[in-house]
Amino acid sequence: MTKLPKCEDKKLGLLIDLDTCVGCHGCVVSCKEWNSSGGEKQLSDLNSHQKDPVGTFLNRVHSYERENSCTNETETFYFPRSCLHCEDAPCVTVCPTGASYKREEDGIVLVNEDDCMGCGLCAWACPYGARELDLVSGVMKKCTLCVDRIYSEELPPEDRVPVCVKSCPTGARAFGDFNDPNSDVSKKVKERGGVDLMPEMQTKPVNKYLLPRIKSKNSASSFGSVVEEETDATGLLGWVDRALSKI
Amino acid sequence: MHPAPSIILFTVLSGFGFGLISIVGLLQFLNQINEFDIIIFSGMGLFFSIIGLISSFFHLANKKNAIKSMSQWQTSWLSREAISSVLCLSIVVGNIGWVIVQNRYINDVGIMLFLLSLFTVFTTSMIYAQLKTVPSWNNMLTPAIFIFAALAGGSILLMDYASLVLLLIFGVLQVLFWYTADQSFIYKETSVGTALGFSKNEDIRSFDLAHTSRNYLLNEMVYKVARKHGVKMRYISFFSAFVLPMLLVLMFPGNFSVSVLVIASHLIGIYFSRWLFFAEAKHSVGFYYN
Amino acid sequence: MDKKVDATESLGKVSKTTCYMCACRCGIDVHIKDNEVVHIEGNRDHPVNKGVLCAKGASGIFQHKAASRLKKPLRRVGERGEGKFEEISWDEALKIAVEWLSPIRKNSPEKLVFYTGRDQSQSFTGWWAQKFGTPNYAAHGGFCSVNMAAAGIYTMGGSFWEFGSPDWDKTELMLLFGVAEDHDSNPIKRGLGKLKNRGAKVIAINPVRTGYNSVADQWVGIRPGTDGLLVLSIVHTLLKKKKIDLDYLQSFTNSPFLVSISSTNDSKGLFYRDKDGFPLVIDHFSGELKRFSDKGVKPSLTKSYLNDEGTFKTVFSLLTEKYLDNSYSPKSVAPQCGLKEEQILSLADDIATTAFNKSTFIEQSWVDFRGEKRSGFTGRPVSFHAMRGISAHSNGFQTCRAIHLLQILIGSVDVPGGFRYKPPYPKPFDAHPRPHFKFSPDSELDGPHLGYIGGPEDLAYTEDGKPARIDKGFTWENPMSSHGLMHTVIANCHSGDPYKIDTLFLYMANMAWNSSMNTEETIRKLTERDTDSDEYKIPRIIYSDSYYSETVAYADLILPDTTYLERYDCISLLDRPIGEPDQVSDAIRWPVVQPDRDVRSFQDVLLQLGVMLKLPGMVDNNMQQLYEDYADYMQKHQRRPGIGPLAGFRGEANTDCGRGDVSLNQINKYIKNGGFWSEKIPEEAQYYKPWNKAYQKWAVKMGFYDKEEPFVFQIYLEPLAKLQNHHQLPDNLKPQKHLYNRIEEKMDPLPIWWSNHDPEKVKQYPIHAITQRPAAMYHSWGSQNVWLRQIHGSNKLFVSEAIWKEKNFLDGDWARLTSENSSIVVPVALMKSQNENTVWTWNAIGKRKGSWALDKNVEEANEGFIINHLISDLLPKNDSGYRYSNSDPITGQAAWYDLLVNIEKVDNPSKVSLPQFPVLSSPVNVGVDKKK
Repeated sequence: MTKLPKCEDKKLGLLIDLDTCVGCHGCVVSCKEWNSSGGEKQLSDLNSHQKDPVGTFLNRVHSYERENSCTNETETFYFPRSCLHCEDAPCVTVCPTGASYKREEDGIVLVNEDDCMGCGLCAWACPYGARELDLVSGVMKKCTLCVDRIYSEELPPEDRVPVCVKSCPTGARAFGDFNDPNSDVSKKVKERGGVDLMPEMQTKPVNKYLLPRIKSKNSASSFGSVVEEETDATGLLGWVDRALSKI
Repeated sequence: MHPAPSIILFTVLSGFGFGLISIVGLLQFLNQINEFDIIIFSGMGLFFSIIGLISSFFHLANKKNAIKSMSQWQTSWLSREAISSVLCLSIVVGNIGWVIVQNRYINDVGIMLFLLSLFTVFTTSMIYAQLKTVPSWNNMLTPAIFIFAALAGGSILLMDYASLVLLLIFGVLQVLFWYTADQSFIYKETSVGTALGFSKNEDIRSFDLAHTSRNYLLNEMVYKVARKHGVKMRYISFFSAFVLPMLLVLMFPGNFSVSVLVIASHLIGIYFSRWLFFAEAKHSVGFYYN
Repeated sequence: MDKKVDATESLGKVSKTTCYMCACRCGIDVHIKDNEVVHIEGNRDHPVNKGVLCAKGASGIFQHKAASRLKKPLRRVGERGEGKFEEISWDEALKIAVEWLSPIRKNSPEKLVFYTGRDQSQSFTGWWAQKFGTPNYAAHGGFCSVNMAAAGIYTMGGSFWEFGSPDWDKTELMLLFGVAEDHDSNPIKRGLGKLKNRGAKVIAINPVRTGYNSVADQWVGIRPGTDGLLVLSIVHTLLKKKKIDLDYLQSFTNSPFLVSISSTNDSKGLFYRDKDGFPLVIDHFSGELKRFSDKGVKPSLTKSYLNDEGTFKTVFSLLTEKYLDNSYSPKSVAPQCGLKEEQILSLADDIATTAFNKSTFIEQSWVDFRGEKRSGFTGRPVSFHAMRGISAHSNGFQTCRAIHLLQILIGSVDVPGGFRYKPPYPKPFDAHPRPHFKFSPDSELDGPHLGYIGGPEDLAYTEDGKPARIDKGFTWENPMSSHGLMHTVIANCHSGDPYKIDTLFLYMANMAWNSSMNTEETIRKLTERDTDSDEYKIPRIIYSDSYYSETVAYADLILPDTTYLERYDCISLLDRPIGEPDQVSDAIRWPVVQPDRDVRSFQDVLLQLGVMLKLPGMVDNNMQQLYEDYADYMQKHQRRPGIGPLAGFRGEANTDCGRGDVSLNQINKYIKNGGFWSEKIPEEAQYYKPWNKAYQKWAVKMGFYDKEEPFVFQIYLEPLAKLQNHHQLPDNLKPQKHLYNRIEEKMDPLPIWWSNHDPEKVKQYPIHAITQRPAAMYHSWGSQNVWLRQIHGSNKLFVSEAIWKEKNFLDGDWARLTSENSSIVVPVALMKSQNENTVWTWNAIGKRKGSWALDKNVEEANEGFIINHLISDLLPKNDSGYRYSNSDPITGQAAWYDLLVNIEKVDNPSKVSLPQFPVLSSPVNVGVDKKK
């Protein structure tokens, strides 16, 4: 059903810390790896050894430069982009076949590939570029929040998180229930001020981002300046001698 | 947005087809048409609509599920369009059959066809107009130009001066649409800043690609058309869809063979207009690739 | 999708082994179904990665299934460099190899030149070369990071990366010097994550602000190659401000040692020692001369000593005099580094404030090397990490020494919050082997090739005074070249300097492309024929690799290797160990799937060759084979009694670790344990390891060394003084005259800095050009990977804003980059956050057409480029007409980042980067699309 449910129970999603992400693409590839592993899951690649290779990815990491008007420095940061599992997910309501849906029990937005006709409208409706049409299977692909991991009974409990969260080397990605004020992700959002992407689109994303912290400016130090006559070798050695006598 | 030929053909041809059907319906309701013309022109409308729909079918990457597109009328304009077009075309077929068999027509069916076909065009337009992600589409000018393009196109063969009025309205709307799409206020809320969670006026630029190869998103939603090229296309479109048909209709009123020429010119113009409609539309995902 | 909520059941069984997508060596869970690898994920229990995995590791399947995999042994049929081969059987391949190698071994083993590239079994391959008897062996360390290793081992018995790491849980301030993705990538990322979580401060010193540098709280966009000067200026400032750890310097370093300063003396620059060779110090309280290590001694840092043998000053006095000099003041240093004075002061301030105002104390009684009881561990929570940006300059050794000096001055090595060793380190340089190079027909070498010299007496010359090694390692040109100089090998083999060779045997090193300086010239040298004999100048080349790299095309005989999932390996304590500061670990690889091609693991092949060549150690006295294969070697081989390649699960019951009897069940135990073994260091032994009795005892028990090896930090590096003091050597040991200046200037026993560039050259070529390894690629390997090549399929030259504006560049423009050596034409892009005198690009993205099973029209081979063409392998002629190798004068480390260029905008309508080379023929097919 493309009618959006009210997810009053749980809102599962990701918290992505742009202050910590080093742009290694680990999540990008781990995601692709998990989502083409086992069973019928495939994210296809074409022209794999030719010019113009093109493949489906559910998560991509961008690199930006930002002029910091406070420090007058150009900063760089990395930005992983994937489905935000919006509360008002426009990709769901536009779907004509009912393939796109949002789960009432946890808010995950999914595509039922058996129903998808590959019209691509949901990808158009998504402001964030979170959906990619798989060129081989002809159906829409998107982040599933690793629904086949997080409820797995086979995996050890600590691995029941989206694979991007497990694999992220810096720990810049966290997974949890944003509806639960006591969850780690909710607490971090409160503490560090988690933000929405394109709030003006009124999609009410569940995923939140933590922006880069304010970098310290290369400022003058409390050392003041080092003056020539301050300490010469003899002075320093004298001080050392006196200090050693006290040890 | 990527100007996919299948989608452009779909909107152009089905727009024209449903336009014809709506005009036939209107004339049928007003008793201003004969049975033969109903059969011919409804048939033509049917033909173009179906060609258009077939063309859109080719746009689908997983065609076997196309039938399921009728299921989500509660939320989805595309689903509504599917239902509405099928319903409308069924009635057209029924109407034609009735006229053939009975050699007469029912006026009230005419008004039904008029409304339903315009509604179908409206649903088509709403597929685009509903998208907040594409601000130049996300306003009522989109349904307006779709509907008046359909009406103007549909009227050329069947009306004389009325079609001039419809063409004129279409021409004005088209210019208005382009004018609006060019205004920067249309993208006023979203920026690379908001796309990345910062405030609107951040100075942020991408310095390295997320992936050096192209991908679906870039191919589909980050289409770039050169400004100069776009302006040239607008002139061609405007001349061919609006100016030339106006002139020809004024010069050769009621001349059927000229009308065919007018239709051809108009449809070519609409094709360019729709190409620009897509090609010039900027999707918010483009901010990530700035 | 959620119809089947649990996908794991379709993933088959898990085999735990070790990744080989870079040198990080993380633990991986490989899921296998129907003998096919279907999924790879990080191993949560593994000490290196704790479950995380990078882009390379997660796409390992495409490395394993790469279309570029070689399928059968090959014999060259075309000209060298054409890429034309015929497939042959293993029997034939081995027969050919033995026909070539057997006479060499018998008559002149030095004519085999065996270099092993990105080998992770160096303790084995080195042992094989030793048994063969050639002195010509090394791996890729010489062109990678030997400056870091050598400076670290010489100064403090351990270095960054494998031999130590920041105390991630306790450090409050971390400084990263010249660190991109290279080396220890996942542990560093995990560590940075921890720092971020705790709010500890990270300062990045790097010309380019990407990756780790972008998340740093502060970025110092230094001019490439000037880090040493910056660090010494910080040292200057700390001395001026009296912010140094006197107790630490007095107790644990050679700063109280007495150095002879009499210029006429034979022992000039050397330590004052007693007749047994123990260094003497003056006791601060009694003023008497004592051995440093005597109980109760409180060495003076300042008092000079005078007797009839000369005048002696403490190391500390010397360093004070040196670094308090105004030439090191932030004011005079800042412009040279492209920085502001305040930036240097603020760095010094941050370091001092954190080290001394935030110092910690862990209560834990321990006994130091003098036998004196101490009540706990003082912590100085400032840590450092440095890598390629420091290492790949010709002043890199001294720069790295300067960083270590700074660490030591603030007392932050192996203390809580500082830098911590990873066992089996620390291990002082004099506990390592000396280099061995004495070869003779039909016999093995006199010992392991690589090591640490103690002075000129250890240099590698033959009796007739020629360099003993083909790479001229351990000669006066680069006396401390502890990892050899792989980057000089092809040129020296080609020119027959210092002697002619017969067979060049390479493993896993892309020397005909991105792993060589001056690629075009290297290719010429590989293919040039002798005008008289019409033989190739390098007569025979054997190469082993798993993939069709550019270098395969230049070999005569190809021995195809397996992939990393099809082989045994040991990540051994005898080699480059894994492990973390609080535990010792080693690990294995094992064939989790069998090869579907006619390939053999290189190590197995070496053992087979060893048996056929009847090499000692590989056959017994009756010429019977000793090891069935490499796995058998891993279990049965013993370097010293009880010490084998694998330290875990030894002994009959597999309960011993470190030392213990051979067990034939050892590998099984590793497999059951997840592919690795770990043992925690006792609490009392966790810090101050070089001087901590408990650690020393534990290390001996574990077999890291056979007797306790406490040592002091070599702030003053006496072996360098011995080299400087070459005038007093007998004639046959003296360096050539043209080296005198260089030796005296560069081999300062206290860290110094010099500019790598002649000012005239800077005028002509004012821009620094450097590369970085992208996080998602490992050198040239990534391009054969279907997923990774979508992320990095082509590269651009990132140009600073100053240069961009000056040259009026626009997006989509192309530029010609010219160095003294050559020029290239490449696409440019603007990047503001980099040093204004710098351009940079991603390393090894450009590919030769025809290689790596890629279609010849791919982006990698058209737009993609490498800057290796610009880097000369030799420096311009010096005054006496000699051309030194483009390396650090002390260690021989390849100076990749010394490159200077100029840049101009050019029209390039073809959109193809230059230079281009002829398309290689390929013994493997261009890859086709298929499901994973």
